[in-house]
Amino acid sequence: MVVAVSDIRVAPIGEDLTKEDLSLSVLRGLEKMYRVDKKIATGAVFSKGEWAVLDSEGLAARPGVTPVGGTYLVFCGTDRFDSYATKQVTLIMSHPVVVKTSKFDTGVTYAVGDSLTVKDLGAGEAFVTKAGASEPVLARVLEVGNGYLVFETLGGV
Amino acid sequence: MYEGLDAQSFNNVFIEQLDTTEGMKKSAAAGAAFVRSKIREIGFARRLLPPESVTRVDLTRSTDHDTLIKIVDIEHDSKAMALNFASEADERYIQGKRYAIPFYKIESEKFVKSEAELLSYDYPITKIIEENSIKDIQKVEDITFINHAEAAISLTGKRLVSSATSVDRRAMNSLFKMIDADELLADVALMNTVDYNDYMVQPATEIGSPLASEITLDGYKYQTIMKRKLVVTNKLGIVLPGEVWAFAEPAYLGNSFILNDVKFWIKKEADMVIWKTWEYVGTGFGNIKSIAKIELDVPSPIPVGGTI
Repeated sequence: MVVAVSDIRVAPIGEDLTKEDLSLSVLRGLEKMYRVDKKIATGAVFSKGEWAVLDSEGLAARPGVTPVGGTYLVFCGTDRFDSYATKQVTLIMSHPVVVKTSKFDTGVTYAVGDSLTVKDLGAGEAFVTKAGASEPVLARVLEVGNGYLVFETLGGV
Repeated sequence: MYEGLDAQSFNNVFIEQLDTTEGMKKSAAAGAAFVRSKIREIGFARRLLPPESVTRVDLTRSTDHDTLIKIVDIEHDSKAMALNFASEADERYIQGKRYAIPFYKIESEKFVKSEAELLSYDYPITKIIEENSIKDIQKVEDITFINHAEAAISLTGKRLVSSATSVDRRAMNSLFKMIDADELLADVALMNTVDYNDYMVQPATEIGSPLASEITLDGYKYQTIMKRKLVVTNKLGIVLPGEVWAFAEPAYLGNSFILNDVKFWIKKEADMVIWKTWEYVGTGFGNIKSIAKIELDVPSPIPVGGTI
């Protein structure tokens, strides 16, 4: 079902609209990063700041519990009208960027320099989390903020 | 067209006019003009957030139903940073936020009166309109306004409960600070007449002898409190005793819209005169931080006996 505006943004609104949107801010690399549209795998939905993998057919799918190198940041999610029309999601591919986001595994304590990977964390969440020893490293922590992380993606993994 | 007539003659002319199509149009137009001017004067919501007139082309339809909304933009974030000469600032991909203001109808009851009974009134028909339709419509506007304000403070937590038993400068200061602390400015205070009366009995030791003397003689005759505009309402059922609201100025508060204009409809069928009034309005607070309320522990405004 397509709606014009989400329910919490219909007066009386249920959201502080003056609050900074921390779901995904690209602090460095906006001009040079590759923004690529990928067809969406059946049933997959994404919001900005989440990550996607490519399935065997090259469709954007939700990450699994085992991290893989080909995992890409979602720049524009499937909640937008253009995505409804094209059935595609816009990913950031093949270029390192510096990102500030509130979408990370909050159950882990981070430090600057930590290696990050992306996997299914359960409850439908697939965000960055600390990388295990044998897991592919997709990003590195640059700043641990109050409610957000700043990290650099490691392009070409 | 009704000037210079006594009430009974007015009613007579009014009813005679309704016997022709032209006369009915004139009566409806006169009624609508009257309703517009009175509503502008009476409702406190319109003083706090003046409505902007919109037409159908300004609004958006829903894909799910047949109602209308107006989508309003919210100013996007921005910042500056201090840098070394050789460095460059963070980048920002601008993504604005918007919110939707749904429209709804406020309508008076449909009034019906026989022409003979109408003639028995010693006051003009416009008084009936004033005493029924207008009060009801502006009251609904005010109720919706306060309901939305309650929804806003339930999210922001800008609701202060005080054990103070009357409004004083300390309470007002605490109220205003809740808005001012967010890089906004509390622009107007809203309170009911009972709390306003309490405000006027502050001792000279609190407000100074000159002002206390002045208030004792003439009441508090200023339009501001602590440099903020003051709106006083007698609607204690909406602005409850002990509740004082503060709002930022309209540009930082939200939006209020009225679709086309207030409509007044009247017809005469046989000997029955029927009329009603309605409007389509929408109100929303885009910046919920711009609203605050303080709740004081004031005694009941209606003494039930005993001693003072």
